[in-house]
Amino acid sequence: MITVDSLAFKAGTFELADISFSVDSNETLVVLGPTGAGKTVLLELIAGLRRPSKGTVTSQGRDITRLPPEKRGVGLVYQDYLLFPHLNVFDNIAYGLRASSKKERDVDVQVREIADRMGIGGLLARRTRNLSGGEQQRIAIARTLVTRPDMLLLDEPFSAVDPNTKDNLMREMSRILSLYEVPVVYVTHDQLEASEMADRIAVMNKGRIVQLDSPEVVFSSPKSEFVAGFVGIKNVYQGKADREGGGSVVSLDGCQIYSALEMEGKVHVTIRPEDIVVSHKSFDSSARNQMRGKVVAVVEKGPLVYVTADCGVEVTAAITRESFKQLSITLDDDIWMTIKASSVNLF
Amino acid sequence: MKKLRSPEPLLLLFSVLGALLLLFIAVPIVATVAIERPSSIFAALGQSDVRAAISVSFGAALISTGFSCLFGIPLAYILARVSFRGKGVVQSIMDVPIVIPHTVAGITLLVVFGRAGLFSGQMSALGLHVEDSILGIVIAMMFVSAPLVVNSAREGFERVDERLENVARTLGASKGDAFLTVAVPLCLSSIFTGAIMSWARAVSEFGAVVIIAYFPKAISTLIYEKELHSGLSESLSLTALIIVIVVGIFVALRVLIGVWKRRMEEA
Repeated sequence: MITVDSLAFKAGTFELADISFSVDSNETLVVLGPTGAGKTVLLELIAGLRRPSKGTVTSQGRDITRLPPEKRGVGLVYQDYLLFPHLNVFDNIAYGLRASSKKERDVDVQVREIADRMGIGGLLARRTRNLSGGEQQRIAIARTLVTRPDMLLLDEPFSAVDPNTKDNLMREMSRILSLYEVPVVYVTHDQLEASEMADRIAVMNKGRIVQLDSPEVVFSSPKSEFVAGFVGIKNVYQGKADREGGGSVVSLDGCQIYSALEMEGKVHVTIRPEDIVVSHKSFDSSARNQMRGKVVAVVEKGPLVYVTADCGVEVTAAITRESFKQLSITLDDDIWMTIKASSVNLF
Repeated sequence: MKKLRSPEPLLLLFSVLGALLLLFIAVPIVATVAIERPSSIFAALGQSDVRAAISVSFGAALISTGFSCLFGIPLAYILARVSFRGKGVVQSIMDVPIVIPHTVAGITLLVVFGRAGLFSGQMSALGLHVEDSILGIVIAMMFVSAPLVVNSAREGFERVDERLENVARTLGASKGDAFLTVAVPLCLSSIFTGAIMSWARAVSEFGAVVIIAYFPKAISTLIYEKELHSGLSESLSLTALIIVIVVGIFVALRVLIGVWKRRMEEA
């Protein structure tokens, strides 16, 4: 188990403060936040690569705040894996064992054992050049786990992997982590990754943890506008579907939505905010859903503006800044949300 | 990169200008060697003063390069990794030997290490004399050539991702181990290149050497003396010999580094 208590750090205008949490062995804490929130700095503080201005880090009941990185029993895997380019795969994995002066015979046995377990036994003689992202990642993790660290720090482990292989790699990573009883602090900016990997999620913004809860709680009851805006998986409802003319009509709490999908019984409804048309007046169109509601929230994010209206259920639409300006929407305005039945997803 | 197949007029002009500069450097060197018969070039090796001068120059340059590496590589690492107040000043100081006339450099060294210099007491207590000694030649060479090691190694360390050393540390390596097993191996070709340049610069030094130590005669001093006392023709065969040896060693080492680098990349 590791415990971080009131950790603080300052460099230039960047500040990290009041960071407290503990992670059990066998638990994965995902630190979720946008770029620049201080996630990597937090990992480097725990690893001892930076010195905190305040606070303590405890591992297995031992205060390690003042220890150098090599004495902390910490494993760190950066997002770009950073295999040693001058060493082959075997020597990369063996690095930590040799650094702690293990006998070369033991090194050989342990390297081969973990390589087989991770499915990279065939790569041991290769140089690190020309390996796929997934292979590099497994080597980086093997290189760390072979030293039997007391904690594992993973910095955006999937950001350098192409999206198609990401799902497989995440499943593989979960399998490997479950083999080791080690507390994991896992940093990412991707909420889907977070929901998949996390036992608990610490949402971080501007150097602070703004919410620390189970994934279910973080996603369903965000405690602040920032968390809502950042993790908010929008327009998710539960309802009861009935077949109707090749599609379905879903009764939600307080309104009905038509979908082009045919389903019956209890369903989840999701609508991408980008698929919703916003207007001040109702208009004739082929779209089957037109809902009227009062604007309850306006959140600007990048090139888009998220407008949320209470139409019986809260519906959020994403529109461009340009349209937002033209429509001149303000809070409490009555607006119409128009959604094609084919844009309403059921599962 | 462009192939010069149907060159644009501007690139053609640049090529002509560049070629003139190239000839300006290459022609004197090639001509000096070409004028001499090969037999007379190597005949110079038969003279004992020539052999002595060669061993003085090459040996002193080697020692100088060794010391430059010993003190210069750590400095290069600091300059690449640490930001501190006055770093610009430190870097400027390292460039001074390149910008001042080398006779001036020699005199400044005498002011510090000479018989009447700042450290004359300590120097003679230790039994060290720089004037007219190998030590003096080494010091003169080091003064003008150490910056080449520092600059080259610094650029090398800057290209090594610091996080590689971080990873090494979390794997159990001390700062020193991470330096020796990660930073240095990854920077080795830059260090070698710097060392070769530094050695070559040291061998070719004349101004600072002749001010501090006319004796034992280094190659550059010997050639100067022969030219002065016996004229161009006397010094010519020795000059050609030195060109052949130094350029030969220089080219050989560069080729060796090139091959080694390529092997590292291919493997």
